[in-house]
Amino acid sequence: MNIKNIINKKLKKNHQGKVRAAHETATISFIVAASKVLICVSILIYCLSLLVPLFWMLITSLKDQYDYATNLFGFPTIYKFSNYKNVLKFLPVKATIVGLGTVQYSIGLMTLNSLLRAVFCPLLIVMCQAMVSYVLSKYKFVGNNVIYMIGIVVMITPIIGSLPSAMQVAKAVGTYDNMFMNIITCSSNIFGLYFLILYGMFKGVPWEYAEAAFIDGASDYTVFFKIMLPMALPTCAVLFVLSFLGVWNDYATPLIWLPSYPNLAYALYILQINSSAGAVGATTPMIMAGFAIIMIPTVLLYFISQNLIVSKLNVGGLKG
Amino acid sequence: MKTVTKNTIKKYSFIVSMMIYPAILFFIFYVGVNVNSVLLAFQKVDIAGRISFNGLNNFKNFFSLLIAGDNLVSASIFRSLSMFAINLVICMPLYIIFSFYLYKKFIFYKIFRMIIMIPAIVSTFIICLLFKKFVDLALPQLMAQLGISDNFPKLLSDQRYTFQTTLFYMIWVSFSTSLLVYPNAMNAIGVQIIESAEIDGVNIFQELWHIVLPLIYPTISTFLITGVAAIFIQQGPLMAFYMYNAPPETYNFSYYMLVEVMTNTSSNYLKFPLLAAMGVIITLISAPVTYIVKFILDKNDPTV
Repeated sequence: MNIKNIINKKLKKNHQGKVRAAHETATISFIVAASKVLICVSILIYCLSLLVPLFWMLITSLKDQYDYATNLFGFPTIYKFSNYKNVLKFLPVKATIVGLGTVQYSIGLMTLNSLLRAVFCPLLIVMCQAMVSYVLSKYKFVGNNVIYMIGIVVMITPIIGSLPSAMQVAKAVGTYDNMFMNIITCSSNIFGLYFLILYGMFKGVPWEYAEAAFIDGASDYTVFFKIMLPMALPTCAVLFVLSFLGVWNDYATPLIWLPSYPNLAYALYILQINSSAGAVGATTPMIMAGFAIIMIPTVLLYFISQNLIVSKLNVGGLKG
Repeated sequence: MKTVTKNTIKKYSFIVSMMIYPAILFFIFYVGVNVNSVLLAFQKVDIAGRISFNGLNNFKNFFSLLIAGDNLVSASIFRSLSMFAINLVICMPLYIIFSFYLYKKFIFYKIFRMIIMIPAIVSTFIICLLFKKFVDLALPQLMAQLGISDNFPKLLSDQRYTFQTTLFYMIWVSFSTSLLVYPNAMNAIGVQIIESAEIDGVNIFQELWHIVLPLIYPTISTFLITGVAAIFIQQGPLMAFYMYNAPPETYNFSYYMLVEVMTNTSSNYLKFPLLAAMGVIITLISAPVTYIVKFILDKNDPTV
């Protein structure tokens, strides 16, 4: 009888334990599922908050001013594609240049300025950083560690308030208001996020490829340009695209450093600032059309390189 | 012996040729600019542009401004700090949670990933101008149409809300870069680690806390260190929103410096030494803080 009781008790306890475990598992599963839904809904709301203004921009860009004022969020009653043409009339920028007086910059010239900087600056930036990170990651030489340490120090040491000095130096060496000088010196900041990414990338490439090439009589340059750089090309392409996106939309550099070389982003920025102040006749739908126009190249470029971008951007630690 | 020397010369000439151009630029535009900035902090420029030694007067003037309650300088410094604190407390956990969602490839992850990238693709510049138009023009009308408020303020023009709105904007657009880098760092974690943890019955919270976070610690640490380093460099969207005319209630230190340098261009060079002294002092405060943060983070690195 006693033994039967003990067995029954043990079975009951076992059963209770199993039920409790099942209960706990069910609770955890519920919490996990609820969290997933909560996070999913949060991201969904966030995504909608990003899409709504863009969608609003696109439908507004097709309205006339009256339609915009009376029907702010609805679809256009008449689709006014001419906004895309008309905004171009307001984009040309006027600037006063010492010695030349007031100069008007055509859209063609501003597009050229945009393209020159957006193509050549990223090329130089990525190339310079690739060269430095390759040498530092693959060659042992006196001072290698010191240079790498300097890079880390430069990266994490906040130098604040150097703008007045930078302005003086830029004027002294001739990079201020000089497109050519600005482009060839745009890679002056060699130690940054790109350096970290490329350094990590080259570090991971096996040196055996280079050794095999050296045995076959290849020079260091051949190894870099014909073996290592092509292997780093996907990462370099991503960095080029990201840099291109940044420079194409850069209105601040013409504003601060290149006042005689306005680009499209600068023209749109000035148009928007002036229209906010009520100074020019460009309507809000026209300005929205301008936003849409300037987005086209960057959106195209992103969609072409989307898979590369989302897979090749890895940032490691800052251990010195 | 001759071959060794020849090879060494070849190797060094290759290294020098690869590094010489970036090094020259670095010396002019980093070392030169910063050395000049320090020198400028001890100088005085008169109206004719003549430069003379000014001792510690610029530093004294900066402290006098602070002590005299120059609210613009001290408030700008305070706002720079609060921008970082909010980023750390609100954004960082959200970046990691959202990144984990994308990394685990939960429902709609592909479309979410694409949409979150919008600020990076379209450019923060366009998003910024669009946000301004939306908030100041469309939102008050939307609120009126929805019957929520007939007098909904223009958030970027009404000085009571401008700082909060710019902060909101910064958080709102900040996800794209982080949600690109963190999921990639998570993807670098070995599949077998996650699989064996799943066999051992870990749930996703345990996976995030005990496996993923420690393994992406170097990336988190990098973002934290560079974030601390950028506290007084981060300008936010003020220039895009307002050019040089932001309401004083929104100023942060970096924007304050920019406005001081770029406005009143005929005589602003007179202020350069004082501004350089401000920069030197703030650098002397924030650089050690950055190194302390780095030291603490390195010390606690679980991947070591």
